[in-house]
Amino acid sequence: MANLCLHNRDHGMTEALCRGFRTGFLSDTDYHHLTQCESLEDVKMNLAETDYDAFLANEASVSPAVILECATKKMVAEFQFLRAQAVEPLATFLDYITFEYMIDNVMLLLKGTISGRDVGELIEQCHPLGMFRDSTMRSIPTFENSPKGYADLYQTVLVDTPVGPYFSRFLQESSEKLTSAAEVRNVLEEVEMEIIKHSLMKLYLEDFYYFCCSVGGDTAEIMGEILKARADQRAINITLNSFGTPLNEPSMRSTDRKRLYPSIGFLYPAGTEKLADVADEGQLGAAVSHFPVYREIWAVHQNESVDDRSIDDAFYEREVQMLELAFEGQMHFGIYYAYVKLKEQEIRNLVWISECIVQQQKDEINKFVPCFSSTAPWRAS
Amino acid sequence: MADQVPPTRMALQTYKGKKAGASKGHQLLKKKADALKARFRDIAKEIYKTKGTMSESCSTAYFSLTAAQYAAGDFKTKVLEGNFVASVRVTGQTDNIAGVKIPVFRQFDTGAEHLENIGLAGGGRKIAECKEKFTNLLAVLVKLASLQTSFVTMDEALKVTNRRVNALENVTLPRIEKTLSYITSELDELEREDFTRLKKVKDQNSKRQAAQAAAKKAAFYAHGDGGDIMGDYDLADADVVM
Amino acid sequence: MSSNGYQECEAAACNASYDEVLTNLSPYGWAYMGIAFGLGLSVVGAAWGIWLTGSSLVGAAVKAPRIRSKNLISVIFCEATAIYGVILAILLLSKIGDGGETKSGSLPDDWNYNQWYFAGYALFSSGMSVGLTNVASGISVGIAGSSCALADAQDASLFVKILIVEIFASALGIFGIIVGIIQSNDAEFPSS
Repeated sequence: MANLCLHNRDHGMTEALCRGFRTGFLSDTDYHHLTQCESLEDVKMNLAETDYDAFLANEASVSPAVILECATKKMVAEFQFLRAQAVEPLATFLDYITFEYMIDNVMLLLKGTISGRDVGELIEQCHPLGMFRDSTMRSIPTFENSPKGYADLYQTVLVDTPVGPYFSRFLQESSEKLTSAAEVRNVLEEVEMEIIKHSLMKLYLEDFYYFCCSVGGDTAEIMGEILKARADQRAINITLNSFGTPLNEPSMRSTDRKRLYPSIGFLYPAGTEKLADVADEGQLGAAVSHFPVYREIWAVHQNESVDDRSIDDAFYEREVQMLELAFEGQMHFGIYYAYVKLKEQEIRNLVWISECIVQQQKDEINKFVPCFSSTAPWRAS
Repeated sequence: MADQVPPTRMALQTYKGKKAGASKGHQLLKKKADALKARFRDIAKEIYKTKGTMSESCSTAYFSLTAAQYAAGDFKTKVLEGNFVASVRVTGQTDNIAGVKIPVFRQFDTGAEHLENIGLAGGGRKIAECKEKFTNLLAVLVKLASLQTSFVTMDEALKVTNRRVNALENVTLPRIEKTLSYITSELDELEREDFTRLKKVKDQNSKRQAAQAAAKKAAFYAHGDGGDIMGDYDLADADVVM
Repeated sequence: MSSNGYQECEAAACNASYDEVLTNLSPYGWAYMGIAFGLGLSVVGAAWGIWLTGSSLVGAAVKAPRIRSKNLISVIFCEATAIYGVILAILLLSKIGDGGETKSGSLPDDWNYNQWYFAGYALFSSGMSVGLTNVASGISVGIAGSSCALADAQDASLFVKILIVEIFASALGIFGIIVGIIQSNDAEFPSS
């Protein structure tokens, strides 16, 4: 009630702006036209008639990579416009959305430095949503690849960044672990970076979830659902993709792999407890079978060879559905998150379509998950 | 050139030997060229087939990369930044076909296993699929590279052999034959010249003899008796053939 | 009742309860408070509604400028609640008269106290009815108007449909003013 009456005081304008950007999503007709294209020039022409307008005007040649870059630029510009209009607590909420990309960027920089790449080159590859100040970006790669190096890095550089707290918590957790089981670290030496990243993402998801809860109202409700679903998706995916990697070793399952499961979500805690002991696909299927939503998604995975839809597609579909539903409510923050994520999905679709056109794979061209499509499975029934 | 050859019997013998050698060589080279050609065709056929499969597996491989990127986002940088050691390497060996050395490439595993966690939070399956497709593609590519190099080498060898065969057939052999026929004709000519000259000399001699005989007869009749019959011959005359 | 018409303090301490305070307020005071609350709350409701609608309208018009004139209707609906308050305020004011009888400090003996008190309370509650309904109506028109602007920006065909919702929200204010007028109908300040 208070939410309804007071939300617009601070966030009415930004919400309307965000909903304005929502009109920019490609419609079914646009997708239909795009899939009929014979060349990327056609794609460019077709996109010129949509909200994308002349976003490729300054590009000499069109390629899927160029489309990805330009579309991302456009999305980031819109997001930054929203961010510029936002006041608290929306401003913090929008910042939370960018933390995910910041973690990605920090990890990219760290990883790149280990393999001795040029900093400028690395910064160019960073996601524009997750940029820090340039000086911070440049000082990240000056560290040693050792536990002490991480600590130094944290104390000198990352503590100033918004993702600093996640690093500090990660360092705390791993230093406890290091003293007890130093040899595990050696096993993980090569893949440490990815594990750090996933640990940070886990901490980020949890933090974001608690922030949304503290905002309260519809935001807590809608964002809570979305983030819980995302946490579950991570837990299931990590388990599924760990098969055949050291993470699935019996000794690592309950220590390292379990640590990557977020402590939020519909699966937490009973489901993640089961997931921790899963050793193969059959057990994973049994573990998620108590959750109707995930049982269905798992069924998709098992029928992958038959109807050619992977578990990723199923998760994407579910995510898109939830994000679209976020737009059904007014006066909450879920729409900003939904907007960014759906726009990402749309960019993925665009890249997919243009790749299919370039590679002459016309049969596959319709295998994407459109946003706000009237033919979506959950609308059909 | 044929002019420089002295039309002697010795030269004739030499050239006859040369001709025999050349035609023997021609035969051998022709055989080699046929063998190479057969092999060359095999390779060409193989290349055609491999290229067919390659274009197919190439497009599926790249498409699986697209699918993986759709599922897992852009993981290119993660692969690039990873400290990976190549798990597959290629070695070169040589093979011998009808005296032609052909390089052959073989692929072998270095045994470096990747402890990869790319796409852990989504798309890992697709990435694994993509990796498998590209491994297949790599095998086809290595095979194709091997075939293609052999193809080029064989082509070169075949051309050289064919050129030699043709040179022997169309240049060397006709030339030797021409020289031979020249020598023979020159020798025949000489023979004929000799014969004619002898005939002429004999003619002259017999004419002169007839004249002398006539003169002697007249003298005999003039002196009365015939005298010594041999006294009529001038012994100093070199042309007299006894 | 004392000579000046007001109740004498009979409690141990005077003005011991609010009850007493309230009953000791002048009916003219009640009447004017009714007017003040009626107008004030109506304007609060209207302002609140315009603010809710306006911020959404401004934002939505960035991507869909065509909605900017059409959706002024929502603002006008909100404005209407303020106008109800003004109308009522004027109506109520005309009922009070000049109140000159009390200026001398004493009231005539035949002063109709019952009518006097009734008029005061009637005008006060009439003002409160209109004021409170108009706050509610204004906010609800504002929320509906905000949604209307957003919906219109997405799909122009939704405008009329949501406008009907807004009309219903606006009707709440009309209920208030109708009831308010009826409430004040019989109220008449006695004149000497």
